[in-house]
Amino acid sequence: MYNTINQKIKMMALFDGGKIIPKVFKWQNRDYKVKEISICYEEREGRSINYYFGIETADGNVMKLRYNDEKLTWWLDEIWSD
Amino acid sequence: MRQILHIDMNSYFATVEQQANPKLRGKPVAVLGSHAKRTIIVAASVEAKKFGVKTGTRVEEAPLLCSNIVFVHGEPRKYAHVTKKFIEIFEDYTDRVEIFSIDEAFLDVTKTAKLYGGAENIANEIKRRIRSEIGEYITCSVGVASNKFLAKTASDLMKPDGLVVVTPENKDEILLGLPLSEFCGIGRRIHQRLGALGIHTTLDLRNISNIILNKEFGIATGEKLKRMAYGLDNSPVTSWHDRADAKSYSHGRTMNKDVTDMNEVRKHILLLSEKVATHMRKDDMMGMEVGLWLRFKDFTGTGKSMKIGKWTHDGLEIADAANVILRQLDIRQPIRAIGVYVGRVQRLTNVPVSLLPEDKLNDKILSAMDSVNKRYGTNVVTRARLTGVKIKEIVSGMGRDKF
Repeated sequence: MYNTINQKIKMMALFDGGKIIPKVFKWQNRDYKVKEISICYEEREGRSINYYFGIETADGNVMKLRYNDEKLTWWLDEIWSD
Repeated sequence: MRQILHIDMNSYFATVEQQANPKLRGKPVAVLGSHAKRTIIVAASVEAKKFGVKTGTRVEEAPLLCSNIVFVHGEPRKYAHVTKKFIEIFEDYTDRVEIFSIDEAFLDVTKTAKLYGGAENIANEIKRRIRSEIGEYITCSVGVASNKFLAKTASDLMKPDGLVVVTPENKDEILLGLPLSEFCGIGRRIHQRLGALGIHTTLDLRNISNIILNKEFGIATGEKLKRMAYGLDNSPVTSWHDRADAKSYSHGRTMNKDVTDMNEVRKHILLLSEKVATHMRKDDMMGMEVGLWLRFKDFTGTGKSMKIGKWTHDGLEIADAANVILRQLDIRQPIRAIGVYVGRVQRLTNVPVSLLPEDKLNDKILSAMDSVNKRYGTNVVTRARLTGVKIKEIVSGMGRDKF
């Protein structure tokens, strides 16, 4: 099941020709490398846009990340646990 | 001869969830309609379907059918985005794309097929692009035929990830081998009525006289059934950009627990009315008929509608009318679900403008509310009475405005 985390994270990401590619982030003093982006989608919330990323980290965690283009902030929304 | 594609996304919501989460791939997955306790399954993965879990299965029933079923809460924004992406792919091949349902579309490629090496090539290219541009786990079944009925019939023949082309040569073989219950347009009740007439196969349907068929079903349905037996259908593919205006607007919800407190029921009626009204204002529509339906604990239900004597797209006016109906309904059991709808709708431009100062002021207030909510997010400004009341996201499909 997905466990709600909803915490801000520090992210190193690539903004490449209209694409946003999360690369490495820090959460709870630990670095996580994004191995695969399995899905990305967006939703407008008022005048800002939230970009969502379903990702798998190099150590096998499945997580949902969110980037808000108005606040320029990244969140870790959810982590999957079996 | 026309060239029509019917594209059916396989186990759509469940497959999108499996795409989003590699740990769900190959597992029986059920997507839940909402975070409410008493929700239903709105989509089952291919693996779950093998155990009999399907759309509409109750949550408590699913583990009895499949002990290792994995539940995932549906996320409408995710599906809306994916739908938008695949429509963009379809529109690269033709401007005639008809969205038939959340996970199905018709494409008329009659005029463009030659540019891409034929309709079958387009089908293969779309399948490849969905995989590469949306996700490797997302598949679709495609039917290629000379009309919509045959194309849809064909796409149903091979799931998942199929491609079936209906030609003049194989058309009869396909139709004659297909149970009538599998025909798009023959539901359970029509199937039963056909059975009562002794019509059990496509050949029976072809052989039955038109007089008997028309007498039982009326001329329109009778002739349609006869044409289906021969695989005939001249209905056009209507681009979703040219779709007709909605005929009614509605919202409904199942309560977290059965409700007996009428104040609570009225709060939910107001909330549903606000949702209906917001949707109507977004589409520039007004209506003058309001309906309310209730479903009780034992799944029986009641409902009624009434003309309200004025054009409206104001949630408060809709709720007032629904509350009048509520008082007229025979309510002897706890309420499980509530729905509000507005019918007899018209475009704003076809509706007489009210010159009453109170109506003009009200329109200004609604317009200001909509502007704030558009800029800062849904329900940032709402009725004071609704503070603290929330309707959670419901994964029931794709609204007309979502892509």
